[in-house]
Amino acid sequence: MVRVKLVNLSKYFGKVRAVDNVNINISHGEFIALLGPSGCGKTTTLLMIAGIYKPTKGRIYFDDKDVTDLPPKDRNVGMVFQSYALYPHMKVYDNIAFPLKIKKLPKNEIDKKVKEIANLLKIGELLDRYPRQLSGGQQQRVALARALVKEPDVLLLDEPLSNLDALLRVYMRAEIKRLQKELGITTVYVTHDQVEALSMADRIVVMNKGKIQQIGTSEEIYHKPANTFVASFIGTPPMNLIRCEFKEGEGYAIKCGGFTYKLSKELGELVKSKITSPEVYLGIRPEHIYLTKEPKEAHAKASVIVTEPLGRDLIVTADVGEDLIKIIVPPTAPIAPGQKIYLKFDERYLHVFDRKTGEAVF
Amino acid sequence: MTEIEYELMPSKKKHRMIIYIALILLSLPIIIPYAWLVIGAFATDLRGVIPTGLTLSNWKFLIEPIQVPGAGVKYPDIWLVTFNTLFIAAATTILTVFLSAFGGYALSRVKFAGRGLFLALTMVLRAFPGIALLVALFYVINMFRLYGNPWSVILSKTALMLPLGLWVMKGFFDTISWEIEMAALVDGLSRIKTFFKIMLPLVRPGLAALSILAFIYGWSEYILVVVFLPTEKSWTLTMYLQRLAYQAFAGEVSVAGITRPMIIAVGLWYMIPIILFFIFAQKYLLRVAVGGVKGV
Amino acid sequence: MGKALVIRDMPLKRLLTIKSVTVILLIAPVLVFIIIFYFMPVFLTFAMAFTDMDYRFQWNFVGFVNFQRMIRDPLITKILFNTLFYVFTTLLCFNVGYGLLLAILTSLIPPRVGNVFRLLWLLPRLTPPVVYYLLWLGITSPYPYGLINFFLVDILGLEQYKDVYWIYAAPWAVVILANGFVGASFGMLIIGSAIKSIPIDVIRAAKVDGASLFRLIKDIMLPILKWPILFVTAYQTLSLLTSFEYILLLTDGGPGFYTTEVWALHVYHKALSAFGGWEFGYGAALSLVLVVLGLALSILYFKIFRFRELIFEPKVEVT
Repeated sequence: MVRVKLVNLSKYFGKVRAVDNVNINISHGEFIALLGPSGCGKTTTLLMIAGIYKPTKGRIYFDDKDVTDLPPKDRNVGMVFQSYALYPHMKVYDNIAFPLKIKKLPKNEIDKKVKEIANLLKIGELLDRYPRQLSGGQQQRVALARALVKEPDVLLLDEPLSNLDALLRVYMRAEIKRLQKELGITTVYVTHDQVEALSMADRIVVMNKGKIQQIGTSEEIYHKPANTFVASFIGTPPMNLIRCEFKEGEGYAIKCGGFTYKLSKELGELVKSKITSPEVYLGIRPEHIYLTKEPKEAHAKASVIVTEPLGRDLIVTADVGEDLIKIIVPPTAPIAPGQKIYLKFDERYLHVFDRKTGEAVF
Repeated sequence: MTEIEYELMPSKKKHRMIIYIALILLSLPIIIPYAWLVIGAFATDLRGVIPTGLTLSNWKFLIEPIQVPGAGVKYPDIWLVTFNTLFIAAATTILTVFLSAFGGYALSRVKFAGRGLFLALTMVLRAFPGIALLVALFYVINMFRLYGNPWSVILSKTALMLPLGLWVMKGFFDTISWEIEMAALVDGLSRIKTFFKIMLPLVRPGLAALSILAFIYGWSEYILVVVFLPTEKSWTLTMYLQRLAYQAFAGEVSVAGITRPMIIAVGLWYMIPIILFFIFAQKYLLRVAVGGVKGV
Repeated sequence: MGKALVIRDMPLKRLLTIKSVTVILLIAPVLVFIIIFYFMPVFLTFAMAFTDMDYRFQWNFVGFVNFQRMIRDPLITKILFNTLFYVFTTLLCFNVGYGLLLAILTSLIPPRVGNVFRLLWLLPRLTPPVVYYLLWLGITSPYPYGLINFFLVDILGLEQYKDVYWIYAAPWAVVILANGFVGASFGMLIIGSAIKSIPIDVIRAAKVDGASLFRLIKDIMLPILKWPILFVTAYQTLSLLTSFEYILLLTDGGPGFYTTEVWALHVYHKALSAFGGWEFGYGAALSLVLVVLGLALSILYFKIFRFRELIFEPKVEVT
């Protein structure tokens, strides 16, 4: 169990900046998720922590030791690959035993450790089989066993669940989280699936185009997104971003296509001090918008375009003047396309973003 | 796909150097003799691989035919011999490529009765050494009255290259999506037009690679020429060089006016098209030289 | 049963079909070639082996005379031994050994440089045999011309090798080296491309597991390369059994009496050279051994290696 520190870490492939100036501090025993769309640099970062890629710039520390120039075999990391990467010509037993054989441990000790980890991961009966005879889920657990058997300081996982079917994925999510808590190994988990990240990780690092967008707990990422990317990447459906303009006059207000929202003095001054131009986004999540029958209470008026019944919720797409927004309402709400509805925002969860920079104001 | 080559590379520069040195040492038996070929062709004389002086006089054979008195053989004009070689190479190439393209297309795209059998036959023939049939082949060539005729070599060589050619072309046709052909048909082209205007252009790399290989093999052919084309008039560069080299080098006969560098020059002359292919058509060569095996 | 899709007034099914006439046009020429140059000669080899045919081309059946002669020939065991020695030594040292070594080494360096070496090793294979023969003359000639002797005398100072003509002094070494360098390229390219198709993650997993480069090659890569290596061995065995061009050029079976005479060369000497007397019948009998062996092995290889090659199912039907 170590602390992992990435300092100004960058990886360039020619002109392409796959990872750009990444700084992360991971405490020991922490479960960190690297979350982002394909190509955002999360796997490249993981491979640098493993030692397979050499950083173009920056350093990596395990506890206080600079491991940046160490090859993978000297870092004591365990890694689970997306494709599992089991050695096809070896039985499951030998796959798991391989790292221990390299360390030249005595045979009975190897046997003990392999059987221990196999039992922990419930693959004890599979030890005599070959990888091609196993199902996806079984292969994945063998890969995990191989990574864990050498008692690594850091556990790295690269989208380990993406090749499993939905039901197994849900099961394994809980299993991996439980295992991690039990073993207490510092873990870095790469995924493009926000549900995985939000449910499993202690903290999430949201990445896009090689850069870190935000680091925080699931709570922080969800409710206090640092910029428009995080706001619209997290959440299904994503946060609504309505194009508005900051207006200063007799008070502060945000004027959006079909409505105007008044700001309090403190908020107004806060916005004024932070924005680079009057163009802003008003951000509010679909579940934080309510229907109201009272026009006086409403913040905005909208006309319904489309409704999508999803069983547990009803998703309404509505036009608030210049933008389309999505609202989650109870499935029994009497909404129909073409209707005019009144909307009330939950002001605790209202956000303002600078349209030019994407940065959140609040 | 080439990711793996970068990740197998040792990270320490020292280790990389060792690998380079090992490869160079292992490849010296190739590097030095071929360097000798090029240097020797322009040398006045050679000690090992060091020339005593440089000259163009070795290339006189291009202007006047070589005479070797008492050799028992009258060396024909080099241009006639070169032409013969070129003719055989070109004819073999054209024939091989055409037959392979048609046959490869059928094997790839057309479901006909006996296709499986034909495919199996092609694969078996690829492993089978056609040269074991040389004696019977001699009988067949004689039967068709082709002894002494360059077509004996052309047809035989084409036949020997067919299993490879069919396999290569089939492989290339396999990579074209079925939908492209459908789209052409729907657009109104007849099957024949589709074949010539759409399918063939799409397998151009395969045709190019196969042509180059067929040309090189046709140009270099030795045993078929030795067996079927004995007379000087029908000689190819193979026979010309072989006689010359044998007489001057191995026979240890001191031959009037013929020096070793002169013979080396003839050797280099024979190598010219191949050298040109190596310079300009590298990727085709690497692709198909060992037989269009999947993945190469 | 809905309405069938119709395009240009023709049902789709009809468009996809191709007239059998066209198919015949496509493959008939190929079939003709295969029949004339493969089937017929195989049949002829069988038939001729039981005749005493010579340059007069008379079909005179004489039963098993040729085979009796073959067995009774005191030199036949030497030829057999030569053939086996030649095949296995060249195969192990060069076609497979050197080829594997080259494949692995070239995969450890950047692809561009690797390709330079691959092209280099392709040269002997694509060089006209006679030019290659010329090169070996240049390598093996006595001092001061021969490259070997030049190196030994001028650079190492070993004067005693001055007049050694290596083709006479070590004919087998020359023959095996010459054929081996040509053969190594096959193994290098086949195994080289097999290395390229090893999934990159397996290599990374081995690195993370702690494997050094040596262990990586020994424990991971080589076992995975088992099939390509087997393929190269099998294929090249058959190829070497029937090759004789380079031996013909370099030693002509000598020096002396049958020192480097291999089976296939013996066929040539007996049947197709003036010295042999144009003995087609006996030559055919000798060839028959090779043909039968060749057929048996190539069918065997087809059965073993065939399921590894994808059979692409075409979609066009024949009417």
